[in-house]
Amino acid sequence: MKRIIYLACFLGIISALAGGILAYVNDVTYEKINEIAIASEKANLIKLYPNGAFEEVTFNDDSGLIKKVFKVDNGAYIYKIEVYGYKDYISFLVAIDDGKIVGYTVISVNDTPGYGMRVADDEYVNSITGTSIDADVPLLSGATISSTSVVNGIEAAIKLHQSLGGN
Amino acid sequence: MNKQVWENFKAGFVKENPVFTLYLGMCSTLAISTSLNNALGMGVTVIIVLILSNTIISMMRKIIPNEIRIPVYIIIISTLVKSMELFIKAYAPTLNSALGIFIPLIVVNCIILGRAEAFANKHKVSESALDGLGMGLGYTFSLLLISIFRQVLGTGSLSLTNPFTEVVIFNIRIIPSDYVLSMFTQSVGAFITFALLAAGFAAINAQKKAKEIKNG
Repeated sequence: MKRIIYLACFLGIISALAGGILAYVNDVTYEKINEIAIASEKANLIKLYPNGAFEEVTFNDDSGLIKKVFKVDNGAYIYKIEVYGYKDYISFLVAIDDGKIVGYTVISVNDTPGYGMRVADDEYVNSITGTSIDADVPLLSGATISSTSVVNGIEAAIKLHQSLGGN
Repeated sequence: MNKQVWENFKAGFVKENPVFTLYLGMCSTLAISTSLNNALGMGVTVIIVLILSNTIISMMRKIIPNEIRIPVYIIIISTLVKSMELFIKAYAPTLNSALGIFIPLIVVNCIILGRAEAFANKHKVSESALDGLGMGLGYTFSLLLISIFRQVLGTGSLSLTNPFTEVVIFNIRIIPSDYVLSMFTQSVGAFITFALLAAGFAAINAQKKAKEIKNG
């Protein structure tokens, strides 16, 4: 019995020490990690509007695919969308202005190289940009599953765009 | 440094290479060996964790009660890994996004617990630290070997970037992009590459053994 109490105490002390160390490391790195998260958001927005000023907009999205909405100072809206591709989440930005998709850029994708990964390639970016929001968003042959998810995300963004009263 | 310690250190590379001859730490090896960058990042992280865990466990080997040694090792290892994960997130975010879930999974990398149980709890602190370095280098060496084959065959080029500054150190195209076998970037390619390399290591070790027997 004594032995068991001793073992429990020993394990408890070790765990408490480990917890203390982790709390300290977390304290040291927390601000830096947070900073990187904010900076990376901005770094992506700048890809679409190099000189834009961005403002986060609150919104109500039924599809659950849209993570964040930013209003650009020239009236355009940027939607941060996350959809499930072929084997992992695809995260991307879509900018809508003047009834057209004016920008599309992939933040992260982890699908099959040579297939699903192509949703981030220039070929697909170019085929999406300029599409009217009333027309069908183009798919990418050879990457049907990944691009269907992307298109679903964009369609959710278009729906939200109309409800937000964007032009 | 006495001879035995040095022999033990060297063994991690070929004779007792943790990946190719002991078949330890396979899961992460197969998953992240797609590029030189990932391999090097993972390798260095494991080296640091392995040296620290071996050192700490060896320092505490006389006070850790035998019955609960494994849980204690796991607490020590997971604390180290979590700390490393936070530091990587803060200072090398690209490496973090490339390695993703495989950083926290270092906790269950058998090499680390294996060395704690098989070596660090029986040996002196300095010897254990050196063993950690040797085994860690052996693991990194294996990762680099697999990733060189996979990156060259799968993407046609070999590149390395500094994970802290994101400056490209080198990027050489070896195979024109029309002739690459993208299968090698996927898990099938990982298994094929691993099997061929493991066979090569087995052949080398068998030959060495035969020679030793011959020479008496």
